Amino acid sequence: MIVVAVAFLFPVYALVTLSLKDPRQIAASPLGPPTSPTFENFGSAWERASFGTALLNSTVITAVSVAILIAVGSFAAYVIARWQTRLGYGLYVLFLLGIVLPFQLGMIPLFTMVDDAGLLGTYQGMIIFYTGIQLPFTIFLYTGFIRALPSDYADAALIDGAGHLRAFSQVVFPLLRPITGTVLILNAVFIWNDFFTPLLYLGGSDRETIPVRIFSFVGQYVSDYGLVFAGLVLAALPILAIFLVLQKYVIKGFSSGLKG
Amino acid sequence: MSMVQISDANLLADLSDQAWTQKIPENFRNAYQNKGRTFIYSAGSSVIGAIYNKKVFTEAGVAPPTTWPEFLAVCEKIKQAGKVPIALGAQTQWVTQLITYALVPSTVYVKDPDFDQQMAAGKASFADSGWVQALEMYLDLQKRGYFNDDPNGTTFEQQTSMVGTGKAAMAIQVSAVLPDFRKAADNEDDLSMFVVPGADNAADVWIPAGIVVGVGVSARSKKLADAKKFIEFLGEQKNINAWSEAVACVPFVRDSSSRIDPLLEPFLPYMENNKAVPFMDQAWPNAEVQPAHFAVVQELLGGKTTIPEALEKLDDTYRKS
Amino acid sequence: MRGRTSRFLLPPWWFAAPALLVYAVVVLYPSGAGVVYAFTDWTGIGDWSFVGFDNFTKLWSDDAARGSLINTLLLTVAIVVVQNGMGLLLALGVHARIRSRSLLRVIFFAPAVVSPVMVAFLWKYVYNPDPGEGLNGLLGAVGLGSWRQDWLGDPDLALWSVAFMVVWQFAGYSMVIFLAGLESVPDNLHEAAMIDGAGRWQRFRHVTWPLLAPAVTVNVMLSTIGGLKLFDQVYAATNGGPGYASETLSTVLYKQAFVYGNYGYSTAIALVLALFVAAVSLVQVHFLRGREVTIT
Repeated sequence: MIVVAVAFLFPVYALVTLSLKDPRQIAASPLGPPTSPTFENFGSAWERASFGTALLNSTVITAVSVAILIAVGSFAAYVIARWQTRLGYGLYVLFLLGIVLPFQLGMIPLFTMVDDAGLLGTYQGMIIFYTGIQLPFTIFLYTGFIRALPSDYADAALIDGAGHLRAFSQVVFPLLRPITGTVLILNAVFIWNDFFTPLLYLGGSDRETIPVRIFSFVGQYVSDYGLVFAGLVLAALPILAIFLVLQKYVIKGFSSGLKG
Repeated sequence: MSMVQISDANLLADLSDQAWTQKIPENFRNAYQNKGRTFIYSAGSSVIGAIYNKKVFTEAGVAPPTTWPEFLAVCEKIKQAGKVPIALGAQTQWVTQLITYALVPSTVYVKDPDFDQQMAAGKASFADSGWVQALEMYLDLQKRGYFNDDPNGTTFEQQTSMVGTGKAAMAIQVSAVLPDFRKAADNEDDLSMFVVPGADNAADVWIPAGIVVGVGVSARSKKLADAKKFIEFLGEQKNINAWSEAVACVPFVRDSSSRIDPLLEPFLPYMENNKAVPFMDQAWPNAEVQPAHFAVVQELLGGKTTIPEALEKLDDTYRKS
Repeated sequence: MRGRTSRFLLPPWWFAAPALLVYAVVVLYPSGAGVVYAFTDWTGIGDWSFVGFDNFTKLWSDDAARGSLINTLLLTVAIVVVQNGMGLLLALGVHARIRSRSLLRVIFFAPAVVSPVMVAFLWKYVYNPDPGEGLNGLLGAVGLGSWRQDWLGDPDLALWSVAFMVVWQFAGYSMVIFLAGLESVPDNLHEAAMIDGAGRWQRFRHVTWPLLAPAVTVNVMLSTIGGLKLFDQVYAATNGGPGYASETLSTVLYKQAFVYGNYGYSTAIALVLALFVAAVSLVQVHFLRGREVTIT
């Protein structure tokens, strides 16, 4: 098993060692460990890729989109899960359609709409986009989970005179913690790493996210492996760090998702 | 998408009222204009030739060739000397077309200068022309082992670095990338260029030369006046000179202070004597033919198709419009 | 309390309104417009006109599109089989270890968290044909120099190299789902089987495997849809090349829209792809769900 893990990590090994070497060390021995590791590539990459701004942009867009998705998605899933009527089922299928449709189908009409609304190159434009396209998946996860929950707690609160809003936010929503964890992680990862649409909508503006910046950065410095890899490491660090911290919730989220 | 397509959709601003447009040479008008109106600006033309490392040539005891048999002999000697004769970065798709473009003027246009018009009228085809010979010469270079191993896995940057550091003797490239080669070279002065002789005798050699890139203004721009003023600024002679120097191209109009990159000297006589053909894709009717060309060259290099099949594909794509 | 919930206890319909609104504006309306354009010759700019089913007949007769369909299927099958096979093996291996379980889980899952485009860039280096670099360099260093290849430049290998890269990134993802499934198999079942004299392989076949069915369903469906739609990695690593060797439906779709300007044709391809994905998913759900066993 250990052998498998080591072999598996070879690309990561190459990534890290090359990012720590200067061009001369790379030419001398591409695959060996660095003889005198240097962090110069990282500083250089940070500056040349305008990494600080990109980091801010990615964070804002991801955080706000995920928050909205959790709020809006859970409410909608609650309706779908509880309304066991043809209407409820129809609504569910309508949202599931979104998982199957390839994004290229509506890509250009949507782009024109966003352009006409003056939302290109803005945070709002991207946030609305992500909310829309990730709702199907979010609702799918939430619905499955809510269906498995007994309705007794919410019913009790309602009978006691609480309004629906209160019943949901104070009784049901806290019970959704495991699946909210999953929803949060999976959506955050997808949005953070998304490349093509930010390229279209944010390209050339000062709101570019990390994947877009890294793409042009790699294109520009492609033959300087050390610099390029330092850039890739920088780009991957934030999401890896969050994952390491929250990994227990991710795994738990998967197991609860399976039962649904 | 081409300038023609975009201007037909009324998305490009008409620049015809700017002074510099009057100085566009006759045979370049098609690249700048559509239906008689000018839509893009370009500082000048680039050429395709062999960018070579003089040190490697000297060490192998060879000099730039003037005929195709001489070219093959030069490559052979370089190979014997243990260096890669021609660096080819075919993984970067636009690189694949350059060798074809370097040879086609001699194999096609010398005999049929109006080949493009014939094709447009349906009276000529790729499969039935000097294109066959050009591709045969292209693949012959591979068969003789004059390319680096795995051209389909080699990128433009690697190709550049091979020539710059002397691992390879030359690369057939467009002059606009001279700045990249110079950056990759151990010593800039090691680099020079020569005309790729696509024919058996020197008199029948023609070269590809033309506009490579242009700048246009969006007709819907919110800063239309400013953008157009910028183009006018670019159209001033001193700026034409500055741009041309920076990308090593031949300015479309010159004055006494125009400095043409010395490496382009060998190509000027061809351009001045009408032995230059614009880059072939600019005459093609739709945007699919050029990528099809890239793809079939990669397939040919990878042994996945034959020359007749490749050219048939190009013809099919040409007729698609 | 079984049966229909009384109206009073049901959440109000407007709970779902915001979601529906955003979804309709961002997904439903543009996709609908896209479907209409599939029957036109729109280039994305300028005028257009209806061409009926022309785009679809063109798709049928276009060699490149047919080739890309085959590539897409091959790629998807390879990914589904290998990624989930490896995921299962990894899960079994990790599950058996109690001490290093967390660490191993993190190591194998981590690549799934990183952007696919960046993984593709990293692997472009790993696949460098130069004998001293990347994978070829490693092979040379351990004496397997004769195994060196032009991983991305050889038309016969390019598609599989891309597949392997995708598997590397997501095997850990499959593993995690299988792990969750393995952890839900009650120990007393294993013990009972052992007491009955069942060996390891028999225990796996008759106890573990049937109870893993939900995990198998999720993994197979996710990797199938992912494989059919795969775009980012192919685009970044090979752009469909060399030649047409690694073109998939998604790359053809992209090129038709953004490189050639045949937006109407491109949308027709997208529509066909969507129907295909839907059909395959329905078949899978039907087939796989039926296998699932629950412990009462």
